[in-house]
Amino acid sequence: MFGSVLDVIVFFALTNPIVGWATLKFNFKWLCGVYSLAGLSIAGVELYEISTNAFSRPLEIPLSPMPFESYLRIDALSIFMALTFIMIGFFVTAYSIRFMESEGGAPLYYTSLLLMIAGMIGVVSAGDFFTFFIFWELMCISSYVLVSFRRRHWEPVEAGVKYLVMSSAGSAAILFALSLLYGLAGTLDFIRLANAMRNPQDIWIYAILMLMILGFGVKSAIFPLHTWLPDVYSAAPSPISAILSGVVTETGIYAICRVLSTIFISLRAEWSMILAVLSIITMTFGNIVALLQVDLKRLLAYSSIGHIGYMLAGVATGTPLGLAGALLHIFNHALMKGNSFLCAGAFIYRIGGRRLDEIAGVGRRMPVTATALGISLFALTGMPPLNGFISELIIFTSTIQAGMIWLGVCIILNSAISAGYVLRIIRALLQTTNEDKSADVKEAPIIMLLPIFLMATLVLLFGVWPDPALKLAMKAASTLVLKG
Amino acid sequence: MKVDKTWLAGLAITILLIILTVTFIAENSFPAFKLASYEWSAVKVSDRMGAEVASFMWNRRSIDVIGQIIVLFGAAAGCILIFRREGEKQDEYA
Amino acid sequence: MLDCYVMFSAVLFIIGVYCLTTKRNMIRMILGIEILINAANLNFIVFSAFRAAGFIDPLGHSIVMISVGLAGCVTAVALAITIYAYKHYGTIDIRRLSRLRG
Repeated sequence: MFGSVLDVIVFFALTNPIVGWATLKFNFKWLCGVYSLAGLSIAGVELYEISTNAFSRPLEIPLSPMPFESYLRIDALSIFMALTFIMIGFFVTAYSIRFMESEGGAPLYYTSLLLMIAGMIGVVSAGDFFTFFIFWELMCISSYVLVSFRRRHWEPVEAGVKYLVMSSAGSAAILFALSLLYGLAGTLDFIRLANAMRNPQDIWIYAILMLMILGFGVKSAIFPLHTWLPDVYSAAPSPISAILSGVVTETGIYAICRVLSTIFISLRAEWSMILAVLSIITMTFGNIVALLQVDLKRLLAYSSIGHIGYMLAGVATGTPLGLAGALLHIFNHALMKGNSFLCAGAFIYRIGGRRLDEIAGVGRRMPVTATALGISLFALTGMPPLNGFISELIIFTSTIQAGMIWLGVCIILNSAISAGYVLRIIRALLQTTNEDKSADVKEAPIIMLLPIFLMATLVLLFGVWPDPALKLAMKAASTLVLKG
Repeated sequence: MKVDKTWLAGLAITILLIILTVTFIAENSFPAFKLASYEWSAVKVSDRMGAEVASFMWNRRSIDVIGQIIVLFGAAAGCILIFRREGEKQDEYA
Repeated sequence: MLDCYVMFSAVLFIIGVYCLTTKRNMIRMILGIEILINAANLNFIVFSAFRAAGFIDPLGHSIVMISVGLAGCVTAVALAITIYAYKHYGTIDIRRLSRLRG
C-alpha cells in the first residue's frame, strides 16, 4: 500500500507489542530486538529490489496520479536516503538490544524506533507536500517520545520539553507556509508545483521562503534555532542520540534541498547567499563552542552543529557537485557521528560517567571501543584515508567551482578547529592517571561491540574506496534541479 | 505591582509585528490561485457537501488517511511508553 | 474579502508565537502550539472556499481534517511529558527548568 519498504517496517512496528507479550511466555528477553532486526533486514532487501528499477524511472504509487491526489514517488534520492536510514537503524537496533536491557518497556521502545525510521523513509519518498508533512510529524512525534524515554531522571524530561516546544513550533511554521503555497498554486505536489512556480514574480514568495527556512531550520539546527540540540543529544539514551544526530537532523537538510529545488528555483541568487551566510555562522559557532565543553556527549552535539554547517555550505553553492557533496556528507556523518555516540554509550554503560575527566584512561581498558572512537573522531576532522575527507573535499571543490572561495576557506579553517577538540578527547582516552578510576572496567559486551566495530570498518572502507557511495550520491543529486 | 519585563517586551514586539503584517497584507493583496493551472475537483455547496468531500478524501487522498492512522497509533504507543509502570516508587524522583 | 481572512489568520499566527514565547505556564505554551496549527488550518479552509464562487475545493478540507488529528497527537505527547516535568520540578513554570545550561 505504501510500497514494500514502508509496509514491512510499519508491519513490524505494529506487531512488536504482540511479540513483547510472547517474551513473557518464552522468557527470552531479546526477542523484541531480534524481531525488529529481522524487520529491518527484510526492509533492506526490499529496498534493494526496488532500487534496481527506480534508478532510471521513479516509482510512483499509485500510478499516474492526478494533481490533487496523494502519492509516493520513489526516485534515486529517496533510495539513497532510505539506504542511510535503514543502515543506521539496523546498527542502532542491534546496539539497543543490550543497552536498553535494564530498562522496562522494551516492546514499545522498538515500536517507536521502527515508526521513527518509517516516518523518515516516508518523508524522503513523499510525492506531494502534505504526505511529506504527515510522515514528518510521525518522525517528530516518535522522536519526542524516545528522547524522554527515561522519565525517572530530570535531565531527559527537561530536554524533552524544550525539544518538543521548539520542534512543534517549527512544524506549525511549515504548515502555515504550505497553506500559503496552496493558496498561490492550488496544488501541493512536487512536479506540478515546480511547473507552476517557474516565474512567480510576487512578493509573497519571499514570505513562504522565510517561513520554510525557519520551520526546517528548527529541525536541522541552523544557528539561532539550534538551542535545543545540545541538551537533547546529551540527555537522550545513547542509541537514540546516535540515530538523532545521524539521520533525524539531516532530514531537515534533505527537506531544505527538496523545497529549494521545486519551489524556489527562480530565487536562486537570494537563497544561495542567505544559506551561505547561515552555514558559515553555524559551522563556526558549532566548532568553537565545542572546544569549551567538558562533557563528551555535549561536545559531540556541538560538533554535529558544525557538520550541519558543512552540509548547508554544500547546498548553498547550488551546483550539482555541491549537492552531491552534501548528500555524501549526510551518509558519512551518519556513520561517523553515530559510531561516536555509540562508543560514548559503551563508556557510560561500563563506567557510568560521561565527562572527560571521568573517562580518563579508559582507552587502555576498553581497547576496541577506544580505537573505534578514535577512527570516527579522526574521520570527523577530515583526515585523508577516512570517509569524512572525501565529502569535505567535494564540498570544498564545489564552493570554488561556484565562485564562493570564502566559503571554502571557512570550511578548511573549521576542519582545523575541530582537530582541537578531537585531540583533546583522544588525549583523555589515553591518559594514565594515578587514582586509577577505571580499574575494574571490562570491554563492552559483544552485542554492543559488533555494531561499533562494523561501523568503524565502514568508516575506513568508504574512506579508501568511496566509489559506490559517491556514484550513488551523484545519481541522487542529479534528480534535483537547482538551476532554472 | 511587579510587572514582568519579558512579558512587556513580548507584548510590545507582538503588537509591532501585528501592525507590520496587517500593513503588508493590505498593501500586497494576496494573489489567490494566480499560478493555478491544473484541474481541480469542485464540490458544489449544497446539503450533500459533506458526503462528497468524504468520498474525495477516501478515494483520492487515501495514503494520507492511512498515514494519519499510523501517526495516531504511534502517539498512543508513545504515551503508553511514557506512562509505563514498573515498580514505581514516589521517592525515586530527584 | 479574501485579504481580511488572510490577515486574520496571520494575526492568529503571531498571537500563537506570542503565547509560545512569553507565557511561563507550560500548559499555556502547549495551547500556543495549538493556536499556531489552527491558524494554518484556517488559512487552508479560506483558500478552499475562495477558489470559485459557489464551489469548494475538497483538497483543502481533507488537509484540515487530517491536520486536526495530527495536532491532537502532538498535544497528547506534550501533556504526557509535562506531567513528568511537574513530578520532577514541582512546578509548571518553564523558567524553573534551567538546570541544563551552557
